Amino acid sequence: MADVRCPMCGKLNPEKLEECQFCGARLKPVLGLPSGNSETIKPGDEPVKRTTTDLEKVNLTRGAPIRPGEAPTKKNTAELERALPSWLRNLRNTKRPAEGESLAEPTAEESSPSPVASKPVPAKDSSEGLPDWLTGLNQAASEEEEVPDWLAGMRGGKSVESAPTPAADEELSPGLSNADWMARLGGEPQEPASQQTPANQSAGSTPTSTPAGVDDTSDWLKSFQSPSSDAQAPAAFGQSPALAGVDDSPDWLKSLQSAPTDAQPPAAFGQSPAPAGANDTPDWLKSLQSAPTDAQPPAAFGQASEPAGANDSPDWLKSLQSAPTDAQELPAAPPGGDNLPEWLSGLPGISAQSSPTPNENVPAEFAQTESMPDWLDQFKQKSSAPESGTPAAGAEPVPDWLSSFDSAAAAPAATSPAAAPAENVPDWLTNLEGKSGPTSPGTAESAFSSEPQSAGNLPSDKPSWLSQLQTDVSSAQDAAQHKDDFEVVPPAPASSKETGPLPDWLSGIEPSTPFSSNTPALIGDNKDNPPGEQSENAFSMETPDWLSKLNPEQASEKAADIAEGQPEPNNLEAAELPSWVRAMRPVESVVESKTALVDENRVAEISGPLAGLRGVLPSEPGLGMLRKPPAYSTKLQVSDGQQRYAASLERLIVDETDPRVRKATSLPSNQILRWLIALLLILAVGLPLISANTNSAQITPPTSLLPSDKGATSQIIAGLPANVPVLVVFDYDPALSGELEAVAAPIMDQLLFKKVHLALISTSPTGPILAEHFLQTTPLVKDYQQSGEQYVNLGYLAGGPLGILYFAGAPTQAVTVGVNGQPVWGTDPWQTIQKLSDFAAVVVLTDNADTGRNWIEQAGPHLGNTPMLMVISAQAEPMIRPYFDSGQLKGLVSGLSEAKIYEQSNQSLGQTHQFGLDNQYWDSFSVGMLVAELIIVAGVILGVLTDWRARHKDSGVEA
Amino acid sequence: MKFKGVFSTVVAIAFGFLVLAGYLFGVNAGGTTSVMGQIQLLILNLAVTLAGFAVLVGVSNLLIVHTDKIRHKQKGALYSAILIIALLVTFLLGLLAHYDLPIAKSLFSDAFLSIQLPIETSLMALLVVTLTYASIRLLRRRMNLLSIVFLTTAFLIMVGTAPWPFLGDVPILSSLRTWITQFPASAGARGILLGVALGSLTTGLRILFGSDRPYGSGKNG
Repeated sequence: MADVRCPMCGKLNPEKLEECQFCGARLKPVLGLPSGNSETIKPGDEPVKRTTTDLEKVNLTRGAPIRPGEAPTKKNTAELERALPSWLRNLRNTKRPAEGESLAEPTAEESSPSPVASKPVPAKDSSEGLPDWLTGLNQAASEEEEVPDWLAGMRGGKSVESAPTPAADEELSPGLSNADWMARLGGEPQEPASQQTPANQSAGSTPTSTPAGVDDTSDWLKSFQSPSSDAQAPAAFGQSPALAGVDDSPDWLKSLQSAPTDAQPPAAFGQSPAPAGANDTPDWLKSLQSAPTDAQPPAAFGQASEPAGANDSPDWLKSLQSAPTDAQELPAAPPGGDNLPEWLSGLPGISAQSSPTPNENVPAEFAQTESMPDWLDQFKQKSSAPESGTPAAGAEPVPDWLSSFDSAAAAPAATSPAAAPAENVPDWLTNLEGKSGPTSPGTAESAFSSEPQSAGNLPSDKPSWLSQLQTDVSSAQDAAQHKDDFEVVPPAPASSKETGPLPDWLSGIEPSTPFSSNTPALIGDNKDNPPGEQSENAFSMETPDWLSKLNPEQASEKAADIAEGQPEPNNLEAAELPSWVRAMRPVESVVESKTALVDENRVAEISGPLAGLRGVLPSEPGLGMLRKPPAYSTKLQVSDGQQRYAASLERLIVDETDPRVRKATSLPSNQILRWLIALLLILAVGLPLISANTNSAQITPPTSLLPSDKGATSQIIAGLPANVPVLVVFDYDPALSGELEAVAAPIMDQLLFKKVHLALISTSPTGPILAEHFLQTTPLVKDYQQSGEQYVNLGYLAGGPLGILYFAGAPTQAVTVGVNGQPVWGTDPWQTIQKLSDFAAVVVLTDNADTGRNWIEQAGPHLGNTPMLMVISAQAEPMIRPYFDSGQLKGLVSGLSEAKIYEQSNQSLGQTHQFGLDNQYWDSFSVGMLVAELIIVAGVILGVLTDWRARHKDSGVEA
Repeated sequence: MKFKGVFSTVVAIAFGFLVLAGYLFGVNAGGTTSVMGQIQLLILNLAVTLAGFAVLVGVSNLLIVHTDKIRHKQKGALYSAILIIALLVTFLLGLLAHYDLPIAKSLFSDAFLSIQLPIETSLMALLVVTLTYASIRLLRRRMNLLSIVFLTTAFLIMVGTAPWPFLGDVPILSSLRTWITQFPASAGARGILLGVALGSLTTGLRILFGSDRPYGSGKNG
């Protein structure tokens, strides 16, 4: 069986108990959770009482934001406490001792504010008067937009932008926004907002305000409004524009607020047993709650708070507790003490004042007491205002617990022009200020009227998230204080009338939420932080170590340095750069100066394809600096080795070009040799000739060879009929007459022997004489002449080939008379001769090939069937033989050897003609030829040897 | 081109074509000489007469030259005088012999046979000695392949031409000589003759077409 922890004192109680056995706080919520929990509250809707007990059972899911319109869920702020950054917790812990100071100082400074709220108080920088942790509230309000999601989710998930500012003054005090939750605690009146005067119309007597964001009112607050449908208590809250439509309260605070929904109505406020959410109550709050319950009765709230706070409560809470000490004269129970949340009722002061002390008498004393906080004065004023000028104020849906404020402070509020600004200030904060300034009357007007300016003057150095967090935390802390305040404040209005049971939310409020009440010190220290740091760290969930380790003192020092404009960060960065990081710096950073100098001298192209390149084109017109060209020597630079090589080459060339005098190889005169050769030849030719004439034996035997023409000449001549004209051409020179006469002798013998008519003609001038000479020397001529036959010497045929042609064509026209001047062609047998072909044969005796060719070529076409025979010298055979081979010549006899053969064949001519001239020449010819051959051979051999010896001798001498 | 050149060219080309036509159309179908043949013979007669007269002009030029040498008493004037005398004597003997003056005939024939014939024959005989001597000195002067070939060929022809005394014909050498004269030497000679024939034909055509004018005022004239 589980026990129930008292939400106020935190002690365990049996489950069956409805009130804490220790502190008397209600353990079970009065209201149940309505069915339409998720319904949103519309403007004009009546508040519905809801039980927030079930909300307590809802596990707070970290990071799960609550959407608009969703039912508030119970959130365990203890978990949030753990979720807070360590640095924040550390700061809170470390700042606790100073918190009392920070709270005490503003009170000392604001010791002389005007106690009456009717007079407008000049704007005053809230940052000056407020403690540090409160300044964070201002900034958080101005920078709510930068609240991180996680924090926004904690706050209910609504964006600040969706919360329109009811006041014309756009610079809504952050304190107001932070105090909205408290305003909602009082049940934000919706209809009254439209009826009341806005805050900027504070000069007006009507302190009404227009709560624009009615939709933004959280459900828990709506549920809170439902029980307080009576428009009395909410009048004071309804006049506060800050309450309108601002749902900036953090989730934890929502959960804090939701808890009282199930709690008992304010009726149990004074008695305030531990609320349902007492288990989440932090220790300090527990101690705070337990202190009055255990140590003092509720009546001794102010006195009993000191020993309680001396034990465990933080300093700021001590200050909160100390504040009522000044107001110990105040009535113990405020008029609306029944409407206070249970956790507030659990506070020592509240419990002390609410339960034993009657509420009716307290406002008078409280209003007249100087030590009474200002917010109580405002409450008085506010409460008086509706009574005077705003009759509808009591019709507004004000929470019941606030209705006591209205009743108590109706009169002063009617005449206070500063009520409007005071409405923007959370009531609890106003109370705080009033409390914090022990000497000051705690004029809420002066404190909150300056908030707009202070909001504008607030330094935005702190991170928004931090500020918001601080704000939330401070708001939570203030909530705890607010409970005290409410415990203190209520006497004025609440004492005059009964407000009925406390709203449900008050019964469900868990005192555990104000755990973050230590943050104000940090807020005050970081108010000068630069905004850049805020933005950088705004969304970081995990706070860096340096930040977590940063003490408030360090933060203040750093902020002071930054304020002085010292460039500390740069210096620190350069000094703290590790060596390994410096080693990793690029080389360009080291040699940057050098490269920069080089690059400066080069022009970078800015256009074209070379754009971006540096130094690719000359920066100067032309090709460069104009300067005088260097003078180079035209003299060839030659080394010693090259000179030696050149000299060697020159010597070689000179040696080659020098005419080399060749040694004359003068042969001996060889005149003797010539004579010797001539003698040998003469002897060789002469001796056989002599011997032949003497009919001695033949030295050379007869030849056995056959004629080259195979006897054609002999056969043709032999075949010539008798008395036919035969043309014999004597075209040889006298030099070769010896050979030709010897060669032609057998042929002429045969012709003469045949008794043919010979017509002699010659194309050579000496031919006719040679012809005569030949015929005269031939042995058979005599016989021929003697027989009556005459030959005709046609003489010389001039013109060469032309003469031959002419003679061939017209022999009678070419040669009309013979050598003796006698006409040739008129006598018989020559009369028949008209043309060359009329000759029976043409025998050409020539030693010249050309002459023989002329006869063949010129006379050949005119020969017809007349054979042409040719007796030629041996030297002309190579040139004439082709014609014989071609058939143009019918017979060919060349040289003495063939003549010898031909002569040997003329056996019919007689032995004389058979062994005629050729026979005589045959031996001489043979011997002379042999001797010549031997001389040539011998001479060549001797000559070669002699020359070889001479060359060998020369070579030996040269070597 | 001057008129002289044109005229001579036209005359040359005309006579050229006439002689050529005589070769082609000189003989009629009956074997008689045609007109073109007659024209050809006429032109040839003029040419032969001109050629005979040219010999007379040449003899006259020789007489003038040597007379000038005698007259100018130049070196060899004596020989020139002998030449001129021999010329005149021979010329006279020839005229006299033409008219059947017996002394003139005999003197004229003897002069030729006694002077000119032996002289020329002797010169030819000296050629044998000179050639032999040249053959001996050939290899000593220019010992190369052509010299050796030339000398060897001449030696073989000599050996093969004449039978050896007391031995007669050496069949191998005779056959070798016949082979050399009928094949290699004949081949070379035919080549030369063909070249001469082509050259003569080309020259005749060039003259016929006027491309070559050796008679003056022409390209080569």
